[in-house]
Amino acid sequence: MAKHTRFAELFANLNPLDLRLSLYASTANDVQRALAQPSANLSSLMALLSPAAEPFIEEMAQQAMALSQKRFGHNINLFIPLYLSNLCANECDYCGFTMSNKIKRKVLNTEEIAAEMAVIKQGGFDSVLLVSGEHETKVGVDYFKQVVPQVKQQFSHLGMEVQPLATQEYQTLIDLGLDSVMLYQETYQPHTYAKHHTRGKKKDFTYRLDSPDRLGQAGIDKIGLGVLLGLDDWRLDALLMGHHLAYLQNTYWRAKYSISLPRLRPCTGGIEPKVPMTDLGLVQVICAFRLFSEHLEISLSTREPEYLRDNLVPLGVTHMSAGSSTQPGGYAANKTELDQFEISDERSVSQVADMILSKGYQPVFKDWESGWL
Amino acid sequence: MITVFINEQPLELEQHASLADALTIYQNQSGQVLSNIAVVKEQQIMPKSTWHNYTCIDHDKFQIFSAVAGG
Amino acid sequence: MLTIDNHTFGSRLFSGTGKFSSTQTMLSALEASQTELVTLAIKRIDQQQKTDNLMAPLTQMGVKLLPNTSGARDAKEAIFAAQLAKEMFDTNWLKLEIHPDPKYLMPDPIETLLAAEELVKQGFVVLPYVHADPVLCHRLEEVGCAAVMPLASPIGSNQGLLSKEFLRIIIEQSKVPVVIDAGIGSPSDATAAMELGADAVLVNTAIASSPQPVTMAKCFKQAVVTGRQAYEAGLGQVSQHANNTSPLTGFLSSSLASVG
Repeated sequence: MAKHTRFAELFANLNPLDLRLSLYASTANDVQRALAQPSANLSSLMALLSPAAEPFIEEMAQQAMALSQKRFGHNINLFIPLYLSNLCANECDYCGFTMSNKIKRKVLNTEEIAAEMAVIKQGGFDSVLLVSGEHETKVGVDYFKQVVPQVKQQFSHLGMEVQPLATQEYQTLIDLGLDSVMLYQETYQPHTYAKHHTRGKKKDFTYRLDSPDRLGQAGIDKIGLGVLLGLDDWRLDALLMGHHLAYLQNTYWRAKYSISLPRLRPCTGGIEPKVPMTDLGLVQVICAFRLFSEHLEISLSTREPEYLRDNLVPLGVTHMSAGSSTQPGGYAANKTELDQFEISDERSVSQVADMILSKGYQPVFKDWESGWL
Repeated sequence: MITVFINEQPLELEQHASLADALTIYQNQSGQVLSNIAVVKEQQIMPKSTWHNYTCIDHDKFQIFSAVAGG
Repeated sequence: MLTIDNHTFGSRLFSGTGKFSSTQTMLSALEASQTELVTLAIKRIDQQQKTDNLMAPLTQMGVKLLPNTSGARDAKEAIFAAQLAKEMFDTNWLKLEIHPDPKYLMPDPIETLLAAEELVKQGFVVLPYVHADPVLCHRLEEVGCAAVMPLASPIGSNQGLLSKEFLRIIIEQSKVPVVIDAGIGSPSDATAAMELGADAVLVNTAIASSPQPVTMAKCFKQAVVTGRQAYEAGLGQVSQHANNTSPLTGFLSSSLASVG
């Protein structure tokens, strides 16, 4: 048996071109078979992500809702991003923080982080996601080693969405209180990846691809995967992410997993999606992943518009951000010139919470207390 | 003459008999066919390669194991 | 084709050699089953009871031998049995089984994990017999076992797939082959196990205790092939009925639902 210790080894044996052909050759029969046996089945995931599944969207949604309610109850977890820095040494043409963008750059210091946390706390949040651009020297592991304990004092769940780190660095941050790391591959198609990541360490596709392995080896509690839907064929990207997820779930079985499904949106100097994704497509991907993995957490950001977020509540989404600002210092000082991307759902936290209640769900601010030892 | 014990049964041997000699005599006397066996002395497995070189000592105790049907 | 530790098997039916009325019947049944892997036990020679030489005819049949550690009550005894087996059969393959419980012969998960870890270090290809415990199977895979052999029901009980839901989870999660062992009582049980996605089944009592072991062995051979083919073909769907209305996705066709 070939046992892989890195996803990149397994990925090298996947043939995306063949997968793409099979994906688009899926038939209604394949979809019906997939609907009968969707759990942990990559062939079924392929059928459910294919164009042939579109006419079955209501059936997928019904199953997704039933599974989500069975596993997660009527709960939606709320979290908020805390942008630490928009310094970035990468050139990524879809991102507002990209190196060549002439925007004001800022790294929050201890006092500024405290001010941000104070505002966030007023909103009732107990789960926070630290976000930064990639800058190894100014916003590297030494900076995170200071920030993690400071933030962890006030929040029981601490996630991070920053540059990939080494296994040992992850271990250090986990010891300091880090609970989860979101690390999005953006696209699993190397040529497209190369096209959009033209400078900086993020150019290294394989190092990024293997980052969840390092997280798993470091013993993180939760690993988040994601693709930027629209950079390339989103059906294929979602399917390849499914392969990644299946590998990780079986290899690092002690960890929890989440996925994020951001769609490419306009940002300062940004680009147009190569393959635009409709709302139907987004619903299809969410439902397909719920049917693939009933315990998978699915996170939805404020990039998406209100009406869509409201309708997605029952379909499998488990985590939503609310009241977000995507600029460092944006909560304490409400200015918008440093944004990573534009927020679409601009409602306040309490408005989002009320919406969730009106759908018959409970907004959850504090999921669990990890410090029980 | 010396006496060794194979699975608790005494076996008379010439002085300086090897383990291989002992096994041959045991096979002839017991009628058991000793193929694919393992020999243990004082909780230590005696590898096949040592059978000819090992000289039995008076009161050596050997255990012989073999394959039986099983699931 | 099934591959365990670089060894490829044409048949997904593994068989035991115990409980047959005679060695000749056993050999005929194994021949009929077309199995390529058979288990054997180890015992101290009993002078009063002549043991048939099993090895020669089995070797002649060309089957691969899988010695077991049955009789071992803890990790230490199992490791010793493994070393005996290696000396005896000249193979580093091992069915690791440790059951301190003489009544139901339930495998001891803690001793099994300890022994497996040590035996893998000593270079054994370890196939542990365990309860249908998904976390234990994960742990055994982590220490380097070449396959896992969870039970369907108690050894020799012919009760079938009592542990089906847990076997399903193990099959879903395992990165090494899953061989369903113990308790498979009828060919239909074997088919069901293979339809579930098991990589192989190990059958002994159900064949050996049949009044016609040779015929039963053939039946098991066919049952395993059928179950595997059904699994590979993909089972037909259980019918699902969507509502005529679309309460959950109707919003997509409203005017607001444009391209995002």
